[in-house]
Amino acid sequence: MLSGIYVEGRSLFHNLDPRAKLLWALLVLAASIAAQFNGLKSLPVFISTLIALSLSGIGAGLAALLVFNASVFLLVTTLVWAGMYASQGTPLVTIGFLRITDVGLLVASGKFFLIVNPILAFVVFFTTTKPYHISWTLEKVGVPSKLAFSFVIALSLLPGVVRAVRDVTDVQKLRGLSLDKGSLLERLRKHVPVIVPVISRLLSDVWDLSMVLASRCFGVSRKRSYVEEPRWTRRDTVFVLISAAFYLGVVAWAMRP
Amino acid sequence: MGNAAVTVRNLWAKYVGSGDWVLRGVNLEVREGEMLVLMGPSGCGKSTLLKVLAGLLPWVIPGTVEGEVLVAGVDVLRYGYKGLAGKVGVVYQNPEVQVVTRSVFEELAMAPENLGLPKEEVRARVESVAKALGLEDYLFKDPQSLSGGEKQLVAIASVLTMRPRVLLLDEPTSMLDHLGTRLVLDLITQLKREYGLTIVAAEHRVEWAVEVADRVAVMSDGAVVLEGSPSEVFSKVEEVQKYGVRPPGVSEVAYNLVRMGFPIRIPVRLSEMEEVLGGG
Repeated sequence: MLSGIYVEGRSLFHNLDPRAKLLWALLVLAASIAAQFNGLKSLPVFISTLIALSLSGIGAGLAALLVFNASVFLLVTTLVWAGMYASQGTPLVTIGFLRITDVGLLVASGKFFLIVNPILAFVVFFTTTKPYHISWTLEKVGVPSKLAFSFVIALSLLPGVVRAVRDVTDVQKLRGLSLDKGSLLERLRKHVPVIVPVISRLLSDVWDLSMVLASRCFGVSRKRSYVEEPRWTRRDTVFVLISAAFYLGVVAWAMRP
Repeated sequence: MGNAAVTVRNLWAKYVGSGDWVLRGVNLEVREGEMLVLMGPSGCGKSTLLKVLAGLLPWVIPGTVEGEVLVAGVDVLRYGYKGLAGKVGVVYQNPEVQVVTRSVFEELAMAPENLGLPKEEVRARVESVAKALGLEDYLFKDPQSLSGGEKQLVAIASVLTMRPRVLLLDEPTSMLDHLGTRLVLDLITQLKREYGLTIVAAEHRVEWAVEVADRVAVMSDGAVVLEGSPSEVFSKVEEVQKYGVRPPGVSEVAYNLVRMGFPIRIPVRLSEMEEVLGGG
């Protein structure tokens, strides 16, 4: 039930200590925040997350899907942020009412990377770290045992939600429900027979799960023990040092006027 | 049989929102090492009784419970499921929701880890349960790749690592195919015969129940209406049928023979039928 979004593998990222990976993801976040107003300075961070994605062994299909979705998001941020900064900087392109300036483009790409970089970094973290070890990592950084496990449960239910939506949609289609016809409002209305059973099914699953967890002593002890604890090795130290040097370098660069 | 492992006195229970009591004055006692099988039609209160015994109602499931319930020496209505931690193992109907982690090893380790036991102790318990139940080759498999019956075996194994004094089974075979049912029933039989575990099980497979159970309790409308050894209970064929429970096939055949005028006693097991008919 709690498979989460973890993808089994033996990649470099799979073999790293989860604490090293979490620190790396937080460094990506910090660098992306620092460089959010200048896409050029955030670009190396984006490239590093793409490299991490390719080294995570999660499969080309999933990686391509993520990058494709990100590129769609780039279009949206460009339109929004470039529009907001239309009066600043040198105009590069004018399409109808939309004027894209060099400043607007830098801010738009910076904002794009601010959203996309951490998403890609945490995707790498979650797809290469077993839910068991995510819970362990959170406890190691001071999150209470109950909260850490609850977070992992919430995260792990995501694939279940997707599965439930797919199953219920298929069943309702077989019963003659046509979801891809009609106006937008009509299509939304047609999703009610999908949403209601999905929510009902998820509530039922969560209810059953809560009873199973209660019966397995969940939350009884203040501190949970872990049989399989990851070990911090020299490889983790090297990875963290290189990451820190790189991302803190980006932060310093971004802070410069 | 030793002291009472489960004592229920004048138990009344209902869920939030339900006007009627689901359990109405249940009295029950299960001794250490004894196996009691609860039988009765759907909605008679078997699962609710097990939820109370597990400390889930009213502690996890909102409801009202009155009476006295002692399980493994713990006052359940006072301390709830947390008071029973490590003392009682519960296995539910649906194997899918009971498989929680990504490997059988993690699954078996989960409860003792939640108890905060030292990791050497957890590992030792996992290994000993896996060995006893023949799950050693499964330890590093993804539970999702197992059949329904195998998942249910893993669910049972994962509560056994707590080393519970009492095992509560809520229709553990109702969602399994024939093969899965056989696997699970054989395991429960093994737990009863080889390990002397106290077991309270709600189960419909009557032929299996009469072979393994020390006692059978038939429930109807939230009360225990018949109780005794399988022979005592199922020899009352007409009464058992009245409460919506199917007696063993041999009992039904013998009962029909009695009605036709044959002066025989009513057996509950196939071996007894052979004796009755003079073939044993």
